[in-house]
Amino acid sequence: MKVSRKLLVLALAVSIFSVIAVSQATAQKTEISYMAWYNTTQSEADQVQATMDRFNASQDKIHATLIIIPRDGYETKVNTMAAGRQLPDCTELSEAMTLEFASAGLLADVSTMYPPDNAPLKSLAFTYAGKPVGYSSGNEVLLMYYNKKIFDAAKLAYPPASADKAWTWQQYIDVAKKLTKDKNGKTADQAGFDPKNIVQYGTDFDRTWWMWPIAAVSNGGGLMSPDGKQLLIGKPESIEAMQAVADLYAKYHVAPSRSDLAAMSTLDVNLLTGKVAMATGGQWNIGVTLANSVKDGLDYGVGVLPKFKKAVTYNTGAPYGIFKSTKNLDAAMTFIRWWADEKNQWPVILNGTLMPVMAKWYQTDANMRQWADPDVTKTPRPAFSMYKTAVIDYAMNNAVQVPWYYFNGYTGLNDILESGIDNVWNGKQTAQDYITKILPQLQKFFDDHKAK
Amino acid sequence: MTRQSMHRVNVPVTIVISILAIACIFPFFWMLRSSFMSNLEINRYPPTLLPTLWHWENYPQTLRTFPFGRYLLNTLTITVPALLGTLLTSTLAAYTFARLNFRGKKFWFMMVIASMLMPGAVTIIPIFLGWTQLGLSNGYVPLIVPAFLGGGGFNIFLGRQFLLTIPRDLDEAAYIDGAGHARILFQVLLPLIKPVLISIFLFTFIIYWNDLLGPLIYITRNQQNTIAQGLANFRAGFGTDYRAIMAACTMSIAPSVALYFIGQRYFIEGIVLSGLKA
Amino acid sequence: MKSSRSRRTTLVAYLFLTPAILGLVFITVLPLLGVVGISLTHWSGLVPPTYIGLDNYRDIFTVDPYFARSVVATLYFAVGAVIMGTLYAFFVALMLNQRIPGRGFFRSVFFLPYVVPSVGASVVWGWMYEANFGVFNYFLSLFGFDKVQWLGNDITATPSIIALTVWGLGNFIVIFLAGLQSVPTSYLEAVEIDGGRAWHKFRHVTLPLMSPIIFFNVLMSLVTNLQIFIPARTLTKGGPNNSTLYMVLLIFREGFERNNFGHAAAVSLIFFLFIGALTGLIFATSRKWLFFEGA
Repeated sequence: MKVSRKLLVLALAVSIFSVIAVSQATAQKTEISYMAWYNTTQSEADQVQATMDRFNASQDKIHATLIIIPRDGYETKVNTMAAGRQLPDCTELSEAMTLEFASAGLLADVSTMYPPDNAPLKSLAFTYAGKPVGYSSGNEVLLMYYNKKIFDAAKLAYPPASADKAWTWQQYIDVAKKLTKDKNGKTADQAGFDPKNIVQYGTDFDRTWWMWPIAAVSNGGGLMSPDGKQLLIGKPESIEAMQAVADLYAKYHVAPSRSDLAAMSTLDVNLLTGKVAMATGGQWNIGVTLANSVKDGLDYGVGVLPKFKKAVTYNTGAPYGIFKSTKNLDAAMTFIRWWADEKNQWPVILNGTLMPVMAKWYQTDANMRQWADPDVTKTPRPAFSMYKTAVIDYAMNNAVQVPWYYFNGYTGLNDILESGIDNVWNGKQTAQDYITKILPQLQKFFDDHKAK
Repeated sequence: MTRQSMHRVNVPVTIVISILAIACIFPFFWMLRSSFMSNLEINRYPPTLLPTLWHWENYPQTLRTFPFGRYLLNTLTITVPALLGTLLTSTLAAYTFARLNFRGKKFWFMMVIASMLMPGAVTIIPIFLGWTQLGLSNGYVPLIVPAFLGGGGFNIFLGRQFLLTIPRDLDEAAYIDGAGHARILFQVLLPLIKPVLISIFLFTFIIYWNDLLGPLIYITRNQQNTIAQGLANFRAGFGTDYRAIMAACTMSIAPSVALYFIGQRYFIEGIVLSGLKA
Repeated sequence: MKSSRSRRTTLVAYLFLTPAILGLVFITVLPLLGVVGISLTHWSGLVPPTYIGLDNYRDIFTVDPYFARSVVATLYFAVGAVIMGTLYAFFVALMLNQRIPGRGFFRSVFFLPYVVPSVGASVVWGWMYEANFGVFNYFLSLFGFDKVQWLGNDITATPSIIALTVWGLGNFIVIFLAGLQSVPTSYLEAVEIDGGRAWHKFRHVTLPLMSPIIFFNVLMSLVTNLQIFIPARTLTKGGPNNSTLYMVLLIFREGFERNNFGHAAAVSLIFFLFIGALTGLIFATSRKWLFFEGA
């Protein structure tokens, strides 16, 4: 009798344990991992982690782990993880890597991720072989920022805030000259100006590798045609624009050299301290840098880029990618949809780091004000009236994609383009000479890599 | 050596060497001085020699974004096993070449010498790809295992040279007493080869502590970063916050400098050993 | 008895040598073969490799815009660092060998930079080289010179890194000092008796006796400095204008950032042969100026 009672207790215990175990198993969450970068500080990383915590708390089916890595060296990390077959489920991809990964067959097909009536802007889709393989995580465009006080003091009109009023390149140079001062107080358009001792630069035109070709696009050329089939950098219009950008430093002395720039601070501090009166930069500066200097007294404005023939700007934005190697495609897509949903990233949209991705946020005035009107968002941003025309309309009507949206191998092409480009920026070689010299290599690389 | 410094001191040389010494120390001074300044003061030009206000709080502040403690732990996690592995395997190999006669000895010793001149940077790619095939390319393993595979031709060579200077009498005596080679090496000779062991210890420490290329390739997660990685990332991110960078830098070099002050004599002896006996 | 003892010895020997032999195989020999093999492929790490024969090598010598410049930059740096480093170390050691007070203290000071991790040294020197707020430019301005873009100008970038490397060569100073101190005084006295002055002592006794030490250390230093990576990666990332795009940085970039392992392996092999050739050259010419006591 005792034995059977012991058996009963044992059986009871076992069944209790198995019930618990089974319920644990069914309540077990799907584990996915997501990788992202942070640009500057650990606190940025903490913010991302906080958002991740919100995701995990918002539902109990999926548990996502964050792998966050500094931007510098991010490509290396993703590459080594890919080579080691240790990729996470999903990640933030750098723009340049996206098509490379797609062509290697590593990215999952995301064409079903969004319903057609609630989808991101078309300009934000990375396409490979006709299919979308990723959508930008945010909308970014290139703009012109300026220090209002410097313009006021010089009694000059601000850079225009809408594309139809964009300055011509000559107008741009003229204004910049008047704002470039040497240590004796002379401006660049005056006789006796000393270019060796400049204390205030009129402007900077960002010569970052993927940004400066917008000048060529504006002149009717560009790096390549928007269908990715033709290389345009060798055309006279492109070369002319490249030379014009170089001449800002080399001939007119209104812009710092690239090494001068490297020794200077961030965009906001340069504007604040008066090192530069106006500078081009990505939209993200509003949240990432300019907000910091606003509290130190910076009063800045935003405008459109100067044009040659057409008023254009680039749009870009790092996409999210889901790897084919994932074991939890649905969970990963659910996560990315949540993560990409503006409402979940609302703080970085309100503070100006990102612009929204979904088309609906650009369609009605009410929607736009929700994220772009500083009176509504209560963050340091440019006034809505200025922002609407200089940024929103500009992005919707005048933006073209950076070639990495549709050309696989932009980095490699750029390696050739950049290999001696400093000589052009420094005025030691003309753009004509340089491009003529490297054009055969560029053409060969382009032909090898363009979409068939 | 020191007695002669009492008489007829060479004054011009002393002056020159003093100036050079100041120049040599200067970076340390500048780093420390900058780490205690406020950001406003540090960017002031012309720069001031010393901070007007000593901002001790820079360090705890920097620690919030530069988790030095964690980096230190990570670096030790790599360095300590590496030291063990190097000392063990290079000593074994050194003893073999110094004391034993066997077929193929000349050949293998030539290989060791050749590997001394082998530039390690040439093989980073195949070694990385090899580790990926094993699935171990993410973590500390690729950084620690090589230490257990002989520890490098240089250390073997150094150990062998040193062992050759030790007479075999004790070896013989122990052998007659019935000791095997392992006992001879670890019980009899070990205390006698302490100087070269310390040498190897210090060299290996510096190599592993300093290494940036290895962690860049093999360490993915932030929490596993070494001090070298952490500092390199920190500088990349904090382009303009120099006082934080200098504070992080000071913390990063403190362990090495501390080790140096503790074991200065051994460091110098070891360097002399390696440079001269070769 | 003897043969079994020798067999046992051989067994023990190989047992003890196993880790080292494994190391030689897996760290040196196999990877070298691997470099050759990988260099004949196009391999991005993302997809399996494809065999392309000598295409990588053809690209390197015809199309690659960075390779030639990298070789020149690396050579420039390594030779510069070794020469300046040896001169600096020898000069300081010579002075330390004179009658000065507190020699031990001074030696400590000059040795200290050697223990500083390369990243730390780069960061500190990077700050001193800073164009607008750095202390070096401040010193220059005291003498009325203009600010120099130390790390931003392609002419001064590599020399700036050479300076920081030379600063760290405390070990050389110690080695040279010990070498100088080990020169037998009897030889020096012999020169004195023959009427020679300090220069004769130096040229006929000190230098020849020190030549093996100088030779060995110069060789090791050259091989090490050809593989320079950390200051370039931390401070300049290969710029400005590729003047600091040293070979190891190029290999790293091609392999791990551009995902072009085949190409990077080809560069690695050429690099290896290049170092081998330089080493061989030094060995071959060493007979001319090396002096072995009693050899």
